[in-house]
Amino acid sequence: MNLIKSFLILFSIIFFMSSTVYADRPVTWGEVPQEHWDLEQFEDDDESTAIILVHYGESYLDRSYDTLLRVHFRVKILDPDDSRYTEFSVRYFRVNRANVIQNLRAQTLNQNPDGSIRSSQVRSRDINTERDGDWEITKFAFQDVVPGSIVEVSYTVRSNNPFGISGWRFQNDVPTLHSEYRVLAPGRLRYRPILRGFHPWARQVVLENTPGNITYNDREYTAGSTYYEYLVTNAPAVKSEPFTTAMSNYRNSVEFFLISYQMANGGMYPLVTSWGQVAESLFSSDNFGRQLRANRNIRRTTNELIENITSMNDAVEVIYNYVAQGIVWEGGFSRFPANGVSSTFDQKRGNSADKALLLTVMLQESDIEALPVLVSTRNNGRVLWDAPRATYFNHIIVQVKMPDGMLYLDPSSKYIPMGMLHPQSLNGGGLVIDGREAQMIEIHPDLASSRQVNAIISIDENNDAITQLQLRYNGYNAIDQRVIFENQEENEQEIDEYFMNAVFTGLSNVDIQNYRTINLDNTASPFELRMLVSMTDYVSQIEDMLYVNPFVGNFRQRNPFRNPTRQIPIEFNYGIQQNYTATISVPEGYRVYELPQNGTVRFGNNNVYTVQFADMGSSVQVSSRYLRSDTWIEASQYNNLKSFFTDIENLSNNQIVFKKIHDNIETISDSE
Amino acid sequence: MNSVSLKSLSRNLFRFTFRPIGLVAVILGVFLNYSQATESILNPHFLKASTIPAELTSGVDAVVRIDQQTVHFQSPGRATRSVTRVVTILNANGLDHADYRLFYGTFNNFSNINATIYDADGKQIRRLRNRDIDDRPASDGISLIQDRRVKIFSLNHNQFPFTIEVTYRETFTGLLNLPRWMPLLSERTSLQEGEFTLTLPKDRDVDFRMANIAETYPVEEASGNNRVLTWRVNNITAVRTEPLGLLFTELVPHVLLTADEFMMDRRPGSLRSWNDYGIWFGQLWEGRNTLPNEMKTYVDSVLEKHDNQRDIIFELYRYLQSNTRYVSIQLGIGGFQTETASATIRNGYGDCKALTNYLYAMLDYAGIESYPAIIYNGDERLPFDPTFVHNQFNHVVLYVITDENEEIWIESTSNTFPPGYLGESNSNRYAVLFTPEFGKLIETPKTDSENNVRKRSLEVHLEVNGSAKATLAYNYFGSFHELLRSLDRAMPGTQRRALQNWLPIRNYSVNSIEVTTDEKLPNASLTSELVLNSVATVAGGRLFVTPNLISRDVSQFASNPNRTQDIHIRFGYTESDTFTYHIPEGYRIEVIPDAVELLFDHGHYKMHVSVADDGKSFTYQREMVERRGILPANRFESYRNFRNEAVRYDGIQVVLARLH
Repeated sequence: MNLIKSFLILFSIIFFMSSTVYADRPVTWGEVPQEHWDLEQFEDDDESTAIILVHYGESYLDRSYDTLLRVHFRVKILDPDDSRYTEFSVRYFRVNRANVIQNLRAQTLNQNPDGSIRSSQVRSRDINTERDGDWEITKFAFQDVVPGSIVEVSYTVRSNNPFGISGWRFQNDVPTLHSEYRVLAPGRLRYRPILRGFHPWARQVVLENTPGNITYNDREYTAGSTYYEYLVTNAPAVKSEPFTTAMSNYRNSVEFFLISYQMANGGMYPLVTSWGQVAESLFSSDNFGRQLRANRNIRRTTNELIENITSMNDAVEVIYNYVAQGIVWEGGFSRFPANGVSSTFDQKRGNSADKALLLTVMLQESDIEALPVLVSTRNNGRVLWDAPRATYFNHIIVQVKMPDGMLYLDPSSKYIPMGMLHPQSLNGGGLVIDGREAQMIEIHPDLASSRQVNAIISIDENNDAITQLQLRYNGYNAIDQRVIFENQEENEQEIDEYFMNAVFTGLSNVDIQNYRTINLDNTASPFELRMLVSMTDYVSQIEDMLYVNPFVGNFRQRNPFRNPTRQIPIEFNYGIQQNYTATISVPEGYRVYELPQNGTVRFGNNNVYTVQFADMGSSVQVSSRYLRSDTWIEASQYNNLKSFFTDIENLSNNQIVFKKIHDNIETISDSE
Repeated sequence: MNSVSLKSLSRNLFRFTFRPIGLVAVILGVFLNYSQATESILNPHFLKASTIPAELTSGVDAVVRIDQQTVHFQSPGRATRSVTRVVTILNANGLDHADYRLFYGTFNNFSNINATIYDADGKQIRRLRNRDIDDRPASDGISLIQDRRVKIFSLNHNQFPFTIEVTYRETFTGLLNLPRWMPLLSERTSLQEGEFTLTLPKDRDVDFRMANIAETYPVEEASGNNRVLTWRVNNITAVRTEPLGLLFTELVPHVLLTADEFMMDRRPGSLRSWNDYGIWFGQLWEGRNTLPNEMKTYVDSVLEKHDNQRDIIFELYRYLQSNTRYVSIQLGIGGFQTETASATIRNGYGDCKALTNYLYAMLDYAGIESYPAIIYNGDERLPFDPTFVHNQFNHVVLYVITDENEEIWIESTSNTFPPGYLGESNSNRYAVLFTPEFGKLIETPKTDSENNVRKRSLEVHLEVNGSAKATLAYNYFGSFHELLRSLDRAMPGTQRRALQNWLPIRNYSVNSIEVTTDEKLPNASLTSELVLNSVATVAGGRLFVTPNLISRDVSQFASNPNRTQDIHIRFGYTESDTFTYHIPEGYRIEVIPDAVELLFDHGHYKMHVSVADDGKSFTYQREMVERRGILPANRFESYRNFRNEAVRYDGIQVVLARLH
């Protein structure tokens, strides 16, 4: 890095001239327009505890080829109980003084009743800097904050990376009135700006290879620079909702990808512009390519594991289980190994990259074709496939070439059976790294997640319901169940409480006579739970009628959405199917009197709920099927989706009525 | 970056870093400070899994083979602790024992950390290297700024059983808190051998409390100019906590120590009595309560306005609440000493110490008697023994006594509490008042079922299709009112979302919401207009209504006929619900449940449905009361039955029939 830097300095023409005043910055320290004092709420948002009035940044290189980022941040505080904007912290990589914070100043402004402004400056002794490994965090609390206060902070981050133009986020979890970012890049560095977000841009300016000098940041720059300017105004808060991926997918932002720089001889030196180049750079990286080697211990253990195994499938499975279950997963998801393959093997612990790379090595050591696949998890954001870059990714999985096709392994969690991916990995696709080559692949969960409930319910003369229940879980639905029953012998009481409170919710006097689990450890097969229960308050009798809920326990479909409105799309990890059948029989002498309506409701083409009731005389057959295959639903469809679930609840909310037969059998229509 | 998730919140050993309502409470740091070490002089049989006595392996994931700790109390300002701990981990559930987190800061540090992993036969697998130890800030989830750090390392292996041996040395440079010994730190773990040795100069004295250790201990010997006290335990099977049972710490062997004299940051103190303890804090806080002139002028103006102390206190507390906020900063001795009043005033923020000191300074200037009081905030983790002078607190409040002898307790970190309301998490316990002249242990207000009351009411207008319009009203007192009160200043959207989270119903919309709070009493209410999509189900010409729409308890206790621990009801409360349903035209009330009254030693449950004279409405009334107290273990099945029956009656139905 320093070499490149000196090279840049050495060969740069006189780049910095003084000094026409650049006066149109959107914000001046301490000067707040009256309309911002008067502001009490942003549009109809009555929930946000603060409003970002101005967020302004400018980035440029200085004489010593340090990248400077100057930031000015001004926020109106509506509710000081929420500390997100009344306390400030900034975290940066500190090793070799890679970044330093300069010129930090901060103040709280309050308007007195007479209209005058009172300012409380944060003193330097109240600013604290804390070290966390390779990182440093500078933080402080604003003083004298009451509802209606305006706080502002300005600072410069000096980075010794001449290519390190930082990105900018224009939208936040509270409303933002004005967010602006200006960048001046020397002509010899070519960037590609990557924009995200759905809020309309108020301004987007790119002046490439400026023909004449331009004035920027009090300075005049020579021809040939590139100037970028982006502005977002009146952006509403974007907040997390159930069923979403990374918030960065929904918020307006810009990132600058360096694509080439000019050599001293005038030629352009291209940096990463293709996925192949990404692979090329990883190939020789200590954090990737150089990790893909087995040491003696790994080799020996691998050989021991597969010693008596003849089929390839078994070999993959035993190695997968060794890594998934035998290596403790710590440190979450990462593209970078925390310990490295050797240490991970020795210490039996590592992050997701450690585990995936170790698995790759062990498989390769067994002469199985295995390759690492870079993935960005759902919480990390989407990959922009037309802008190749390694930094998108934060996780690694493994591709295995099996005789009948590709198999993908995700060994991070011990609960994920072979062949399934962690739900976080289901983010569209990944990048297979094959030596110096790369290939983008699409990843879709082809494994159906489902729950099948079969109930045989016999109601006896005392209105006790003897019920045989068979629950069968597949795919992701099976994983949660396996966790619950993992230590069933020791957790008897916990499991009892799980049955009472989560399976037979709302019913008391449920006597679980016996239960057993099937395929608890055999994760390749569906998990099954069979039980015999007797329920004494399942049936209501009123005079000669029996009222029976067709859905025993907690197996009615529920509406998972509560919020009245929604701004961001609904993104489920995977589709699910949930089937329910029940045969409900009553004692001799009773006949079906009234059945709930059969019905089908749909949402789009791929989501459907059907319920049917069949009168078999002294018994009723209930069957319902719920299928939700769509995993991505636009925000504009939110109300329709909610009504879909409301309709489902309404359809499954009714009771079956049995009536004791007298001499004349009545039907409802006859009696009315 | 290698980020290690910190499973425990516990960090700041007895530093006062309480965050007000709604955020994570502080836990005593003691449970994590297992710590020491010189070279191991262990009998090698501890390193082999096969030598574990059979009775120690049932129902456990790990066996502590030996926990050997030696504390050397050298001087009031200095002590060392050497720890040797060997644990055999039997299965993957026991891997928590392989994770070490050693918290340190201004007053303690760790050195000579060594660790080795052995296989089942006691053969060395590998040793911990220095670079495997991660050192990071010990963020407590509460403080904005603090200086505690943590050394983290992990000794995983994947072939079970395996054994880890850890030795380290901890040096204390301030002995307000002496190290304590608790060799068993979790359930599903047994202990083969434990030995705790305390060495101190002959002329020194310590007080101690021990539990679950034979009465014959400690054994005392003289060694040169030192006294040596030793405690031993062996073959302790795993303990298991029970719902509403004893605290974990009451079940396991432990020794707590407290020094006669100590030194912190060159300030000597004594723990011979609560009086001495209080004086040390009082002197530490002395001279930090001077008000700037403009504040004096303000207090003067308040004094002019009122002629009784109560009103002055109320107004000054309200002033504090509306001009400050809670920000936790804990650096060095600042974990015990307050920021000066003038700095707090300038900043407009502070931690519990600074905010308490600010109000203390104002009252002092106003000539009103008040004392800062050290207290433990949150759920009890260690039983408190008033006869044992021991620093086991994490919070500071203010105790005020008026010239009419009225006691007023004040929680300075709350922006909304009424004066005199200390909060459930500070009630029913001891606090130590402190001044430079004296310290005094006193009890904070007690709360029980008559203080913590929630009244809920509903007025529901049912439609033929099962939908309804409803008016909901919460009227909460005491503990229950705290959350409601915290919504008073919140944005309307936040109030709506909170209600949405509390209501156990779906498919409804909120038309309006209003929160009001009482100025002087711990009382707050919320009213809301709701539209409910389905309150009743329709079948066979009937409407089925479960009238307990919003206060239904659905969580049941599992049976435990072998219960061993007494039942500790640590929270007393009353729930009183009145829900009135107006039935649709063309329907009559057909079936109502019989009234129910369940009595229990420490409470009762009553449910009653009455029909209006005109038959057009019915009213469901429910009352649940539990009083604080302890019941013998053999009452558990009856208690469980009482609670589960209540759950059953909460689900009871009313049936409406269509008129022909």
